[in-house]
Amino acid sequence: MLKSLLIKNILLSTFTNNKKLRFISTLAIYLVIAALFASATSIYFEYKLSKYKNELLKLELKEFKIQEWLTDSTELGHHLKKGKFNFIIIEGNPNLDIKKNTFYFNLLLNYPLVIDLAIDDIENINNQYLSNKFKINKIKNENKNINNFLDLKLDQYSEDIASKMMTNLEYKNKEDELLSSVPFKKIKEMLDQSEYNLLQINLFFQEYNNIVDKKKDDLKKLIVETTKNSTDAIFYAFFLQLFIFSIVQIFELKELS
Amino acid sequence: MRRESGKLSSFNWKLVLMAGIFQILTLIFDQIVIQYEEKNREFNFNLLSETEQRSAYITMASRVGNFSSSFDDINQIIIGSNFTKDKTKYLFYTILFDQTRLIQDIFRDRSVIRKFSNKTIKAENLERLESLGLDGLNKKGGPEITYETYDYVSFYFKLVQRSFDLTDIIENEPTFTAELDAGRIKVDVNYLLQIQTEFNTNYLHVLNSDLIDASRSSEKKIDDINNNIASIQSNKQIMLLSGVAFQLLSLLCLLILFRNILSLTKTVIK
Repeated sequence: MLKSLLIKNILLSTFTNNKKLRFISTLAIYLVIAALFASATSIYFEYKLSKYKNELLKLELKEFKIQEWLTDSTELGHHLKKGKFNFIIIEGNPNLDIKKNTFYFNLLLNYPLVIDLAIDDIENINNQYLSNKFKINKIKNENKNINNFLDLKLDQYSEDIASKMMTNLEYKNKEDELLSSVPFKKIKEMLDQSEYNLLQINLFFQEYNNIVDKKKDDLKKLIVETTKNSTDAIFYAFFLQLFIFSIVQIFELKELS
Repeated sequence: MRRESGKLSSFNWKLVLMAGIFQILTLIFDQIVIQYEEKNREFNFNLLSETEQRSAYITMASRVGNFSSSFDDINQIIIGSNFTKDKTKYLFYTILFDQTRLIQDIFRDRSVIRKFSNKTIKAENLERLESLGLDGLNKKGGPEITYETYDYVSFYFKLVQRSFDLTDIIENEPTFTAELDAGRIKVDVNYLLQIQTEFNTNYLHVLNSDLIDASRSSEKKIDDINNNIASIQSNKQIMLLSGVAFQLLSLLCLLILFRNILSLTKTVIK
């Protein structure tokens, strides 16, 4: 009984304040439509922002790889210099009988695999401008030739040592003998070539690092700009709705009067 | 009876129906968002662990590569030197010690064990050689070396065990000697140590290359996970905002309905 009386009172007061409520409900409708516009705008801008953020994350991962190659190529270059320096110390030492060809051949063994891996990553980056600038295809072919030479010699060595058991000295002599037929100049040239190629790879990654850094900066700016545009668009949409609402209300009031 | 004139029109009923439908859609989209969030959390965790994994593989590969390269250099110098037997023994011992430590360190990592758990490796069947005994080994031209496929992880643990066994033999019999190739090759402890260190170094090079491959496969996984996260996040945002939009549409329907009710005649309740 009490409940039905209460509802009746509310309904009565509602209908006595009809005009006021009509205004409020129209205002609420326009606000909801404004919110719908804001949602649609947000969906559009959020999609854009999510795309940019994903790009940024991908660039951050690329940065990891770049830094790794910058470190590895420098370390390997350093290892090569250290190796050459070691031989200067070893050469002429009466306690050490190490042939120059054998030493440099073993030093050379360290490079083709690493250069191959770096070229794989460079090909995945697929930056034609930098690839042409640092002649990556030429480096690839040169490295392939060096690799073939090393494989050939190692195969000969494996065949010889597999045929019979050897003492340490026999092993060493066999290796020296196999490599003595190769002119030292050839091994030295290959080593210098590898050193040069490694430097080119280092420079490639240095320059690519600059490109990635610039792209990251641009993306960060774009993200800030898009966020600002999104806020502005929502703000303008709201005011546009408010403006439409005011005009509609003016016409409605005119009609009523 | 008394509400005859205040009855809802067909349009108003449609508004009620649409408000309900939009509410249900809001609920559905909210549930989709929750599921996306679950997936997102899972992918984020995978991204973090795979990134750590990749970084660990790269560090390990670099460590193995540097050590192997040093072992090769030292080996080359020892073979070409006229160092005393004791000095040579000491140098080989240190290499062997470092190699066993390195292998143990790498294979202590559960992620490495997991990564290589289904992998096999083809290597010299040393058990068969050992089973021949000293007389069987001392055959003219040497015994035939056969190859066997081993479980990858077990093989490296065997390398460590073999190295430990060798140091035990050397400690128990420091003057151990044997003959190979019908007495042509005299084997002493330094020879055994050198053969074992070279054998270990050879398979450390293999491990290095496999760790590099593992890091590359991690890179591909990271790319895939990253793409999945991006797609999930963008879908999640769209679903979330669509949910809000449907909620607003439902509210809009109710407000229009309310406004229509207000426009009805005041004689509903008298």
